[in-house]
Amino acid sequence: MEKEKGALKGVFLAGIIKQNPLFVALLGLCPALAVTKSVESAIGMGILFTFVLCCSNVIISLLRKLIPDEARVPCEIVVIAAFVTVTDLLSHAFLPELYSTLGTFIQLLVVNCIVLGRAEAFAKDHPVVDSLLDGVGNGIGYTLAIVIIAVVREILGTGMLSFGNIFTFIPQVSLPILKGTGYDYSMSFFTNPAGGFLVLAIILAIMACYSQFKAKREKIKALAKAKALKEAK
Amino acid sequence: MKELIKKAGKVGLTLAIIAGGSAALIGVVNAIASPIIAKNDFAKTNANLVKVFHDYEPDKQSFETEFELKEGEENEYTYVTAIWNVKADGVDIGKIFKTVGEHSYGKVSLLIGVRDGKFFSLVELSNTGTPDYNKTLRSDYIDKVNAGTLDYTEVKCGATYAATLVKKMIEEALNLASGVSPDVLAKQRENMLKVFPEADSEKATFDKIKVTQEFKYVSDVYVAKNGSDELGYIYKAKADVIDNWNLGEMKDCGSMELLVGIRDVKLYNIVVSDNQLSYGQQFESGYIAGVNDGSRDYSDVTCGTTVAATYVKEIVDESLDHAKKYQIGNLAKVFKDGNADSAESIDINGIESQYIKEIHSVKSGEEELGLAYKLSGKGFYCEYEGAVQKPATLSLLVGINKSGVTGIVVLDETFTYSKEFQNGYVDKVNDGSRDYTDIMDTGATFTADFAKKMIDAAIKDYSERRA
Repeated sequence: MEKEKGALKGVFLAGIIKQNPLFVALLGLCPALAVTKSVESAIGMGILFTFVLCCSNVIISLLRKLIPDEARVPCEIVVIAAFVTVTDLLSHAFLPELYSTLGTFIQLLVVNCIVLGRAEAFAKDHPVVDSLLDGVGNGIGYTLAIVIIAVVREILGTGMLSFGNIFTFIPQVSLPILKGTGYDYSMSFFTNPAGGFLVLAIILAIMACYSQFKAKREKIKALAKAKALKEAK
Repeated sequence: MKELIKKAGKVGLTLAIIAGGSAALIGVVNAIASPIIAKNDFAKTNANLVKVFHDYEPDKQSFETEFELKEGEENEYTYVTAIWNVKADGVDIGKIFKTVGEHSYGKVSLLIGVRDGKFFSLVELSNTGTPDYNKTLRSDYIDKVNAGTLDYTEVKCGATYAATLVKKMIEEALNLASGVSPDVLAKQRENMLKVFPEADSEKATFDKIKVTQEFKYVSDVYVAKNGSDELGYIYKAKADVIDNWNLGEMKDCGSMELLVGIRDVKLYNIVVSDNQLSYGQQFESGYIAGVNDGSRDYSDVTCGTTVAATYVKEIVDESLDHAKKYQIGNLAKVFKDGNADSAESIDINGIESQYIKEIHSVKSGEEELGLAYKLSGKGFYCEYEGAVQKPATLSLLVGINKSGVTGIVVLDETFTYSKEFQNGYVDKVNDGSRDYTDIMDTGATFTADFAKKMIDAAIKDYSERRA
């Protein structure tokens, strides 16, 4: 039981950190750069993405034993397309500002390689609960990744963080950081796609540095341990 | 074989069940979402609609859809995609036209309010043009038009492309409000092309100009252009003819509608756009044909259809009178110090300069205020930090007398930095704070340099003529 719990935790956490779809697997780059001009649009995209991923994972997992191998991919595409259409309709009806901000990128979730990737790599072979947790984990991982990019881009590009423009049910707030009365250190370059690429590249470089540093440290530790064992002998 | 059919059947059935399930799910969600989406769209449109007739309280206004173009549909209108009849407390207060159009740098969507057949106000729904020009369009055109400080026909505002599109949208809305259908407009264009047969049927434009003069017959005046070249003016007129045809008693003989073409304050052509006269054929083949082929002077009305010809003479006189005043009014803009009251065209045959298109001697009484040069040419400009030269045209009206350049009016231009050229060069030359030869630091050096080149040619011509 304890072991099963640990495995489920591992499934959930893998998508967030170790196998983060954006920062590690470098999947879903196109919408990640297009919707990260503001934190609110990134959060909105993350929520919709997580919804589509969880629903499609659950249904594909449920039907995994019924779908013949020859029809697997077309069936997965149909299921994903159905949930993307549902998401599109619901966001149009209940979150019209988010719908008009994200525009065509909601419909483009159909061809998002993370959604089909998780269905093919995980949901088709695993039980419903595991698939749901995989969907939630990857959804949170992707959301966190695009929110990090969006925070950097919005602060550098506009000089402030704004809320309440897309999620109109919360009060409008603007936090001046690089731009205020008498000063403006914002760089509009970061609101352009090229700025998005640069931010992503810097984050990936920092992560690569950290993992190299971590690997080296572990190697040194292992060597020290081996040396200590040798000396003890 | 049997195995294969069984397998194919299973695949097909699975796909069909999943597709059916998906369709059912989408259907249910659509049934829930559609009314909410429609409600949101209506609220969004309504929020903008109430801004058009801002002299009435928003909550008192109600909108009845007269026509709305659905997505994917096409209609015969160029810009109008929806029409609403607006009421306040049950009383009609006007019509709102939703228009969508495209210019060289972006798309513009507007709500245009028309009350009693006249333009009332406009609300910008979207503008995807260059951001700086969008701001200029808003501040220097839309806001001023709405405030009543600028006529919507005055499109030279620093965002001329977008403003020209807005003007065309307003004109279509006004035509529709007055019941003029697209078919009628197409027929009118066909007739206008007959007035200036040399006009290119694709390129020619006929823009209505603002007229303050009261006319007896003329209803509208249009400036006809072939691209950027001005062809002349068209006066649209209508007359109800009362005649004692065949020596009977005076009676209504029907009406006629004419398009009178005027070029250089001279009659150029007459086109009968509607002829309801009881002796219409004789009138057209006799008097009108004679005037157009040059065998008859328009003032010679003794022709067998004398009464109708007399009406035509009066219409032409009215048109010529306006054309003269309009031309003098325009020419006087470059001689602000004098009170111009007459102008005389000077023959430019054999002139060397390619830029000089017209020369007029502008007078106040007997005294000549100077010569007004209409200059036009094609040049090039480079965009900011851009290396590629782009073609552009510039047309100016320049006043010159013995003291030098008296004034400049920009008639047409397609160079970039229009506003800077107007503020930094033209306005300063006009107020005397800049010499026309000083083209540096104007903010629009390419345009100013080209203007200088054209003015140099005019000054050379002036000194040769008035040496």
